[in-house]
Amino acid sequence: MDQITSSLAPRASAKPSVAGVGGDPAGSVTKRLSNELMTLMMSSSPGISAFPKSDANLFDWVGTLEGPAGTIYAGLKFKILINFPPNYPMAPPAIKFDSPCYHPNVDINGGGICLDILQDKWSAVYSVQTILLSLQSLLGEPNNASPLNPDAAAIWDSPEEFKTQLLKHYRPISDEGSD
Amino acid sequence: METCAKKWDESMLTPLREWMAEKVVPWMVMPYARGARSGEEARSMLQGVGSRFDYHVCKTLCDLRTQEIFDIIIDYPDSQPALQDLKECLIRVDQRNDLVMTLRKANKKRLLHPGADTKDILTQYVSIIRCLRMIDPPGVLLYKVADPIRKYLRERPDTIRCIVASLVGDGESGDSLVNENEPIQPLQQRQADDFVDPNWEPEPIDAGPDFRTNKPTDVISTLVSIYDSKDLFVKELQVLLAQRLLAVTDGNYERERRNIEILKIRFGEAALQVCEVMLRDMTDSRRIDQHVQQKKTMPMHPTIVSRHFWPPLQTGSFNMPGQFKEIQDAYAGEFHTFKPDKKLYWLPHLGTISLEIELQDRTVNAEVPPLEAAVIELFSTKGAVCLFAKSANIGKLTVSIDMWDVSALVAEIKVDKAPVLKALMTWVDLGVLKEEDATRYKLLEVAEDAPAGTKTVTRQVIEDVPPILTVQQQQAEQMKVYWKFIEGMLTNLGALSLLRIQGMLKFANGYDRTIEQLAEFMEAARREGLVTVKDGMWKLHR
Repeated sequence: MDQITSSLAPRASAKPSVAGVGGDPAGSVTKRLSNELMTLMMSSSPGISAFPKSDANLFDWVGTLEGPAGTIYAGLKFKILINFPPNYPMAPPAIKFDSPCYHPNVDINGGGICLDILQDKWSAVYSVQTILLSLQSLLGEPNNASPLNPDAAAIWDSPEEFKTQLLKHYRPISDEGSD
Repeated sequence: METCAKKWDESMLTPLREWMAEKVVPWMVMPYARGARSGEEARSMLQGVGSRFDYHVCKTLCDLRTQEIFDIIIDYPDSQPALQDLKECLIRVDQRNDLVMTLRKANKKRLLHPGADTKDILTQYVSIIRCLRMIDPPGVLLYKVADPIRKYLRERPDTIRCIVASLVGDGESGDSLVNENEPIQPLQQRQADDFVDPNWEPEPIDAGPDFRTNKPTDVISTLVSIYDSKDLFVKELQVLLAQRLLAVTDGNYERERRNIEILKIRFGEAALQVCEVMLRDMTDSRRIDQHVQQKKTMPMHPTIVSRHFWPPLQTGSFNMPGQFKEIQDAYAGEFHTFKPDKKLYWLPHLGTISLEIELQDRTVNAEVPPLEAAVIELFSTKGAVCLFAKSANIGKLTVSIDMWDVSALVAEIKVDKAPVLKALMTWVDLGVLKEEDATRYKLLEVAEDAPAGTKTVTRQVIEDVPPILTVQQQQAEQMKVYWKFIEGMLTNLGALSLLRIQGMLKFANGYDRTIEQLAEFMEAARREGLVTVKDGMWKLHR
């Protein structure tokens, strides 16, 4: 009897964990996210980076965006928050700037971003990496037709003035840990 | 009894019993069956003492064979009759424990010591498996004897390689561990006990508590089961296959294909998918090469491999000087037009180059590794020698310096000094270069030791470093991957404690280092100036 129960025990305990991975869609999302993390880490694209906030939750990431060279944002670094919905990649992740970013398509107070691929143009083939790249290029080439920050859009064409405003709002990323 | 010693190729028990019936029994009749009136009566009187004699015969033979067991096993399969005897004797005499102890002792003394070759240990292990299966089919003896061997093999670093090599049947070592006649079967997993099995038999009484009836599995399964997972094998197999594929120069991959097919049956299709891709790479490269050659004939035939599927190749690069560079670039251009979505990364240090060197008085033919070729090419650009890579005709360069300093060569080719020296020595051996003093080499326009005239030397220079990284080297490579992750988390999350870094690294596939190993690694990174640490918090050094 003893033998029977002991041989059954591991099987019984293994079952729920198997079901947890296979049956529930969160399992495949986790897998996709960890794959994306792997690709992002190995791609070493300059100036973009992101990592999960904690080892307990793969759905909350923190990203770092460096202003592309040759643009007004060159040399500046911005922190962004990425939050993946449970049905990712069917729905786009919610992304906002954590550090204030003076930009025609970025809400200076809330950090909200107006970017088509993050809204109606989203497609499941996009990944964290492509989003980060799009954001990086958005910094240099704003879409002034639909501004979230009309003031910034208005002065975009006068770089001097824009730069002053940008630096007034800019806050460098501190190196202190997030915890 | 002496007559039986060392004679394992025939059964001894039957003649002994006959001898007893013919010689001993009549003699025994005298003292033990004196009063017998009929044969019947005599037999019954003799029965007791007779069986005691029989027991004695069995015991003596058993003792003898037990002492000889190690050598009997070495002689397997010629010693099969002796094993049969032993089996029968053991049924009568209960000396199984003795046998186990003796064999274990002999193994420890004669087999499991540093002087023994891993391959020999494996061969003996396989023989032990076969012999003890014969004596004791359920495998209790085997289990008891094999345990120390398996433990020992697990500690040897080259065991896997040996097993894998024998799996694919290395050409030069004729006696592979695998019996060719044995049907190839999939690797067996340890089955759970089947409680409704009508043929179930209790485990033999002398089986230990941790004994598992392994149903007669084949030898390879047993060998593979020395290790806990077959992944290790598959990995090692890939390394081995890569080495063998790259060594093939005549484009005949049939043998490897056959091996892979056999191994597929054993390990399953999925495990060997990577090997499949590697094999396809080889055939594909030939196809691509043919295509490129059609468009533009080139004196080069590269092997194109998919980096993702191959075990990491020895990385290292040097600048190919002069005409080699031109050829390489031309080829890359052609490849690009053929497959626009792919890009070639050259591994210039692998492969061989056939050279024909025309000197003033002689021609030297040589097949050399690329580095050697690069070195001599430099001599040719500076020197007054005209060098032909076969079928590539580059015009004569006539500059009159034919002396090179080693450090200048090192700077030009951009490699370490040691390989350059090795390359130079090759040419010195071939009589093309001469060592002037410790650091300077001179091109011999006119052969010094040989009589003038055309002297042709053809020599194969054997590459002594295997191009494929060993598993240990791969581990170091893996750490680079983890570094990317560490870099990523420190960039985005700021300073982190070692514990959090370790926790976060679970995102990296297959991360299995301990926190101590991580601490060591981080310390090394700090020494390289990549990170700084303050109050136990690590951050990137900017």
